[in-house]
Amino acid sequence: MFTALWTTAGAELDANQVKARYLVNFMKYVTWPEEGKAPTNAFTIVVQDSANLKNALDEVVRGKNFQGLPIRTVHTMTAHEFGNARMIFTRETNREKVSALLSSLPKRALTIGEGPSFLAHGGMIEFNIFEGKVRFNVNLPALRQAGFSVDPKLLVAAQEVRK
Amino acid sequence: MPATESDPDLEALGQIQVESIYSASRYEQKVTKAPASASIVTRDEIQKFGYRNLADVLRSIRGFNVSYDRNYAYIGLRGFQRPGDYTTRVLVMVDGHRMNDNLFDSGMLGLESFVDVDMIERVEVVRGPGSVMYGSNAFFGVVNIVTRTGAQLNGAEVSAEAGSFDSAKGRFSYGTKLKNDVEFAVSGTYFTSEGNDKIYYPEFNGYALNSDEETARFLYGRISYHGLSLEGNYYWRDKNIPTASFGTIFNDGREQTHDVRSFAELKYETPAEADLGVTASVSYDDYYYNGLYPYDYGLGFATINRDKLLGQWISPKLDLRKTYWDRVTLMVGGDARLNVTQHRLNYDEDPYFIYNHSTKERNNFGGFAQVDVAALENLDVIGGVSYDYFEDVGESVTPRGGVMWQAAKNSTLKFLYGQAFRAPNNYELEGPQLAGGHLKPETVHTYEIVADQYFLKNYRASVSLYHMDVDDMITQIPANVPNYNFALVNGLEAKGIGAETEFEARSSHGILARASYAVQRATQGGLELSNSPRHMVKTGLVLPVWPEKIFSGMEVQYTSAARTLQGGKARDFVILNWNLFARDLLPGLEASAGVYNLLDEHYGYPGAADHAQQVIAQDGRSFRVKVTYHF
Repeated sequence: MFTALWTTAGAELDANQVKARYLVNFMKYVTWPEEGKAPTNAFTIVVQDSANLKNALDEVVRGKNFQGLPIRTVHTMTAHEFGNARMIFTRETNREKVSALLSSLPKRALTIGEGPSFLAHGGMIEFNIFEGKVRFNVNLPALRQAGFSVDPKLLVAAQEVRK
Repeated sequence: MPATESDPDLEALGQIQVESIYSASRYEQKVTKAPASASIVTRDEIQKFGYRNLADVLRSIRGFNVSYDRNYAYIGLRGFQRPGDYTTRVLVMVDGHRMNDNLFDSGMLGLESFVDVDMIERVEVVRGPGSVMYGSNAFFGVVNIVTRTGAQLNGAEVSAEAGSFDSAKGRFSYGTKLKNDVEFAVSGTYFTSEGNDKIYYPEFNGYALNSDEETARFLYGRISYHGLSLEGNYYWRDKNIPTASFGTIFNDGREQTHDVRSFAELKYETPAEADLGVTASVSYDDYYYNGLYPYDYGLGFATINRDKLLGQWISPKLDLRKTYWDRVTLMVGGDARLNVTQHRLNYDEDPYFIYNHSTKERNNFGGFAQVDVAALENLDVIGGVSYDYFEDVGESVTPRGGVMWQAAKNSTLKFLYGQAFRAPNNYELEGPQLAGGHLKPETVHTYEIVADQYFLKNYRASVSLYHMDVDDMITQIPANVPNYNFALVNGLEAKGIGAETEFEARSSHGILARASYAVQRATQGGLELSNSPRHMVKTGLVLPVWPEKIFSGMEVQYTSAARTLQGGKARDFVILNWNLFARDLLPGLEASAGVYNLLDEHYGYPGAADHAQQVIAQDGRSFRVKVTYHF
């Protein structure tokens, strides 16, 4: 009973390893829209401008499948190589660049960013560091507009949910 | 939204402390990979435990012993705190910028030190030798104060506090990150305290009245754009001294020190993920001190002795870091301290007499290389060496090595060896020396084993064993030299052995429990050093009173008896502090109320040679209330 009170704190993961594990959890708790799904041979996750996160993600998804497809991770420095990505993480925080990036994305991609205004620009999920811990906020209208459905468990775990 | 259970995986991820540490290797790395025994105190802990200043923060950390002589605070570490050592054997940094000055090499001034504690995001502490990375003064440890950024402030903050001894503090801060990625933070603080207005000193058989007053101002600013930043800090402090130190007139009310310490640093840093990591900076530092000491020479009036110092220096610094084959990280770097002014003047006003006047500037420079090899998936090996040169002193070559072994999924073992040095400071070089004498750097050799164990995913235990050999420590010996009755020589050899253990547990409900025990023995010729308590026990407990909103933070710290300089004893003591902290009761509002030394323990720290008091008595029970509004 006492042990159940305590959770995984203090386990020695760095911020990128924690974010990588979050990304995998996000995959579990959102349902991608069926409509307009392009035929593809891999579930592609693009990480923009964070080689360390991409490496951390590789540790977690190596050899794994999702939706019957092998998971493929891609790292890019520019905002133009998103192809048919299903999930996109960007480290960009500049307002104009984020807006431009979000408008150029493939449809039906789950967008994750960081910084205090990613959601304000239309992003779906943003990471922030709160009291030395990685937390996340969810933009529910943006997710719904793109046709995603969201498991309530994700919203419970979020620090803030925009409705 | 329908009610639902939370997911343990997601919740657990949100509870993981991801803090990395900069101070061990001059770049951000995981604490378990850092080649040192390290601790971090976060802003969250500062708020919940109600720490009023840096001294409070450091006192909570295992192995640290911070004393206060009612003028300056002194950082002791692992049993070493030489009386009269103005924190010259611990390197103190603000955002990686060296704060030890170019005259005394002092790393601490008041209890506050250089930055308002409200502007601290976290304090990193690295125990053991740090000279390979940081040069002189990183002898027993390194303390790095990391300030809050503009994005972390994210708006304006006004704060007001009041406490015992007519203490009051006010602060205004503003910070933000603009759309164009320019980030800035500014902050100003004013602190005033009447101090303890009636302190009884049996040595003088009387009270020191109204002579403990303190006033301080802090200004801080930082602006950055991507990797480029400009940071400035200004600290101004006046303190009256009630102890009649240095044989001044007791209860005169005028004995006072005035310190001003400031710097500006321009820095460029590549992103952490850059292929070639570059950190380049140039900074300007300034330290001004003016001490007023009233003496009775039997002339029928008091003679004022003035002690004035001015230090100004420029420090260029360059670090390069590159990782090869994903396994080998190579760091090389160099820095210099180009002293523009090292000016010291000590004189009596009336009758006018100059005791000491020195203006000679001496520069120093150094370089280092360190390689970190991920030899196996679970084994890191580091090795490093530095070369430093000090004008009129000579050179110092300093090695370090370590093995960090992740023995099991949740167990890390570190085997560390390192040397560190402290070059004689300006005060010592200009002080009395034997004819033909030549002061050289002090050195310390440290051997340490650190074990970190995480278990049940939420508990952490650490054990550290160390052995230190200190050679050529600078000390005073009786001698007949002009104007003095002593001389400074490299004469002292000392040893330190000890063990530290710490246990910490955190829950998702905001509970934090920690306890540490340090046993240490620092000796010289078999005799325990003065001001070296053998045992220190520190415990802290944060409990949420109202989830996410109100927290109770309680600390109990035990310090065993310590020998005084005269061979007497400063008795052991227990300090209990208790703080209530509330956030978001109203949007943007934080409030706290704390009681310090709640048991009203009568205790003190051993005095130095300049004190008539063997033990400097500390304050009894005191309180503080504080309100901060964020908008």
